[in-house]
Amino acid sequence: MSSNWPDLFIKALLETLEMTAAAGAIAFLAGLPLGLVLVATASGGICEQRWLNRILGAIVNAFRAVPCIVLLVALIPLTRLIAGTSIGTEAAIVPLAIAATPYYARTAEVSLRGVDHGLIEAVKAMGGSRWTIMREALVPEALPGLLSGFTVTIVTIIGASAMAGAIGAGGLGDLAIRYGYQRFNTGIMIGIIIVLIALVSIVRFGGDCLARRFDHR
Amino acid sequence: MSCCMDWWDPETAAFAEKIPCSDCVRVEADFVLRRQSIPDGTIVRLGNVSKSFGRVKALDDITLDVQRGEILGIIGRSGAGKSTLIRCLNGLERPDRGRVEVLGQDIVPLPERRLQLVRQRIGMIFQHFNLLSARTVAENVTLPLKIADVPWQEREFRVQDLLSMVGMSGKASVYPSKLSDGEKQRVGIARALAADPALLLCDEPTSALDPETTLSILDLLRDINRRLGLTIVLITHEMNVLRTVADRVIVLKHGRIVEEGDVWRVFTAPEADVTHRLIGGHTSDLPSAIRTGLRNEWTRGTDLVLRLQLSGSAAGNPVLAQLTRDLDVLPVVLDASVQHVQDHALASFTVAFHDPGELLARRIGEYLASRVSRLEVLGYVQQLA
Repeated sequence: MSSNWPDLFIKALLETLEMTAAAGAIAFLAGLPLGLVLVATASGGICEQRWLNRILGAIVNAFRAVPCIVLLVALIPLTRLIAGTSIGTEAAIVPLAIAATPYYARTAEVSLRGVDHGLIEAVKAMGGSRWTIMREALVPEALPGLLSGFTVTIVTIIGASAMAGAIGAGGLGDLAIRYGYQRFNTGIMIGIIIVLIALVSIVRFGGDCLARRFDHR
Repeated sequence: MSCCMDWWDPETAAFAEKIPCSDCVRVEADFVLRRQSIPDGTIVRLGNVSKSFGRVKALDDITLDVQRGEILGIIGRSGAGKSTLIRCLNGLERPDRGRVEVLGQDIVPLPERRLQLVRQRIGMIFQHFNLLSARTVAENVTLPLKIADVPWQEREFRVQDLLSMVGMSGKASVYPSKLSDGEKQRVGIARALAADPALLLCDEPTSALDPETTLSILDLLRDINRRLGLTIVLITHEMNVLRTVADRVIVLKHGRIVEEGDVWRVFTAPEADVTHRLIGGHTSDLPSAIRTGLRNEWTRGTDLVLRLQLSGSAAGNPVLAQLTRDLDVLPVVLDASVQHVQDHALASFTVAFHDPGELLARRIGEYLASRVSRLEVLGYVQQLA
């Protein structure tokens, strides 16, 4: 019975890593621009568009309001459209990414908003375009915050991926529920908890190091 | 190329209303970057500029010229409209009414993209320096060159030149957070000069600095103005800053120009009340015991307190000694100073005469009035020690 434990464990760990990495990457690539747009279009921003800002803000809030487990099942039709299937690890990536993107967009927005307005004005006074302002002032100045925000997002995705078992995506959370809880296997439960804690700690540590590396304030 | 000719009209030195193709933009950028293209005479001309924020009139019908090579100081209390005015000069603020001609071109109606090209020719430094904290000193100075599309091989030399000009050569790879405030402003100046501007705007450049650093920054600005012939517009609320550095002064109050003139003239003979107070005139520098004891009416046993100012060549006259000899009175000096503003001397005395009596007081007044540049009767004070 215990001969295939290591295999199961590694498989679950890889599934969790796959879901987290893919959803995290998508959240970063989609969330950062979304955060930039939210900051730029806000009143007093570099290209003020109050209505666009309000609409985007409402969409972001709507997604943030829905619990991840609900999104996992509610988005099944969309998942099937994008991933071609509604079950399995790949299928879980779609709702996880969709849940994480608004989350990261808000985090990024907070960091970007914290950039001193004087710096934006300085680049503007040099004759910089909006794009230059974003590239040279907003993003580099907010980078430490953007990185630690991304760390938090990754940790959140790791947590949310535990629910992905609901649509057959596997992963460590699923292993813990099916084997640790339903089969009363305390050993595997403890093992999974330790692995999850280690995983989160590594992500945190890495993120903090990166953020510090880019913080020259 | 031919399309550029169409929309750039050298006759009127204005851009015709046409959206330029990417080639045109490059040519236009070349044009604005060529140093010899700075016209002689007037660099900036403001015509009837007004700007309101809600119901507050920040600028009210401002008309002024900035001549090539001069340092124009704009002074006023906070809220007088100084910041709005200087930000109108590079289009960071768009006036509600009026013309803002920079290098012969009205920038008010320009679309954002053209405005960006104009801004590349105008340097700006700030009270809080506004250096990018994530970039090194050299990277900060490079940024305007990058924006102006200067080839990278050129950038490096230029940055070295600029940093050595402001005395920061050794700190090229340092991050701004490691610099002192004075050093930060030096980097700010190097950055503002990077794209070879026709005009340098200084927004309270020394207000966050200690007095000693203030002087060194002002020296640097003066030096740059002399060596490069760079036109500078500087706003401040400190008269001392203008006294050190400016050629001409404009005094703003409630968005209006209340006084304008050469700095030594405004400084030695201020006309507007605001100017007086900004200079620290009237009774502000008297000991509080005297200031609070001053009365307008003469009564027996009180001392007459006068303030006299001698400016220009009159500053060399031994007026007080003459007074002592001719009227046989003994003035007590309460306060005295001799300052030099742009090689114009300004001597200022506050003196007291012990219980002169009405008749003698009038004779002292008449005697001095014809010999000093400015005479002020501060009042009578009960027995000075």
